[in-house]
Amino acid sequence: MPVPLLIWGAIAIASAAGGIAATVDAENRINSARRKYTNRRRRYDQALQKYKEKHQWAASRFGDLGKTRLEAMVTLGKAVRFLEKAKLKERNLFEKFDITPEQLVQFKTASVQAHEVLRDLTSSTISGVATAAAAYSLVGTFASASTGTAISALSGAAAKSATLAWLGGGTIAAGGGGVVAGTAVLGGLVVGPTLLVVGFFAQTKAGDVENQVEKHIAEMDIDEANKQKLLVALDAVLARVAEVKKSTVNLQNELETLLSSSSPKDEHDTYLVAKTSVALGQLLDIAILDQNGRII
Amino acid sequence: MAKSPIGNIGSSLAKHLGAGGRVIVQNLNPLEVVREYVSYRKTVTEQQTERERIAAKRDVAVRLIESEKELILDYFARRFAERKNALNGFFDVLRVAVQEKNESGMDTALSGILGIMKDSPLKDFEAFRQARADNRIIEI
Repeated sequence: MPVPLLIWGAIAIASAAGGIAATVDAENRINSARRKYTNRRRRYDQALQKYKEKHQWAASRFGDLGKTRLEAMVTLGKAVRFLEKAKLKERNLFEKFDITPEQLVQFKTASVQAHEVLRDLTSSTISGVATAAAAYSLVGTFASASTGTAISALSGAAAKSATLAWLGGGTIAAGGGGVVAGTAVLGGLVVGPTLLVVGFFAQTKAGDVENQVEKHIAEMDIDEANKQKLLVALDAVLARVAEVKKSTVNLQNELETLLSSSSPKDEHDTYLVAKTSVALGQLLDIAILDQNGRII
Repeated sequence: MAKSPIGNIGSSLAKHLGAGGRVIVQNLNPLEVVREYVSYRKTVTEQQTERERIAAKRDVAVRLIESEKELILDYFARRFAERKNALNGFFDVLRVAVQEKNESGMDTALSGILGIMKDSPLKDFEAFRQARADNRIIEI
């Protein structure tokens, strides 16, 4: 009789020890998963911040291009006044210089408007910011459209706290309380197997938490990779912006040079001014994105 | 007063037990312990498989995105470099033509500049990507 009791006692003690070890290990696994998530989340938030900063910088580049184009329009206005002084016949304008009278009016109107906008821009920083933001809203649309499946669950403070709330161990907290603990510890002979079963549950829950962490980290990895890709695409858009800007400035400078060395009385000069003005007008007509933010 | 280690273990056990666990504890017998163990091993295997599936799916997705990123980077680097050279050349011609008031030089330069500028490399990219996907060769 005493022998089986001893064996039973040994099993109970071994079970209890195994259960406690498994439970403690589960607790460690959960804590480790939490740390892993928190670290990844911090790096993800830093990446998001850089992404936002790059977009802000891109907005300023668009604003800059807008200002350059306005300045070029002012030069275009000077060219229109030159052509008006040249007193060319409308037929000549169209046939020889490829400019319709309507185009001349457009150039002139654009120039006057450009003057006004530039004056407002210099008198108010806020207008400048607003113009840049308005121009850049197109890029914002482009970027969000290309993001594909956004990681909405991981964006914004509310979502973050929800995620943290989830991570905070909702499943763990549902345990029960001191009564169950008392039952488990003071359960007499069943204490060993009970602790073992508790160990199984704890390990299963740790596995659940690890899986959730793995899932959220995978989402962050994919989203961050997507954003890196979008930044490369944004760089391409910005390279186009820079290209348009540089060409506009160069052509505007050439038109200014031409205007300063030309006479409206000279038909050859007039021809060159008209040609260059039309080219600059066409350059100013080139859009980079359409109104819906799609690449043109 | 500091909590004793035993007290900590008790509350930790309580947290992990849950409703299902409580039922088992209340009706505990050796057979049920074995049954729980079998079920536990099965769950652990499933969880491990799930974690591996998530990681593998993530790795495939990230690799695909990164290869697209490389494609974009490479394509635009080449395109913009070519365009920059050509534009610089045309603007050089224009500068000289304006100084000399050379009509034909200006015509050549202006049509060259506008030809390049009206052709958006951003727009061409989609065609390039599609051609690449179809294994076709196109001029860029």
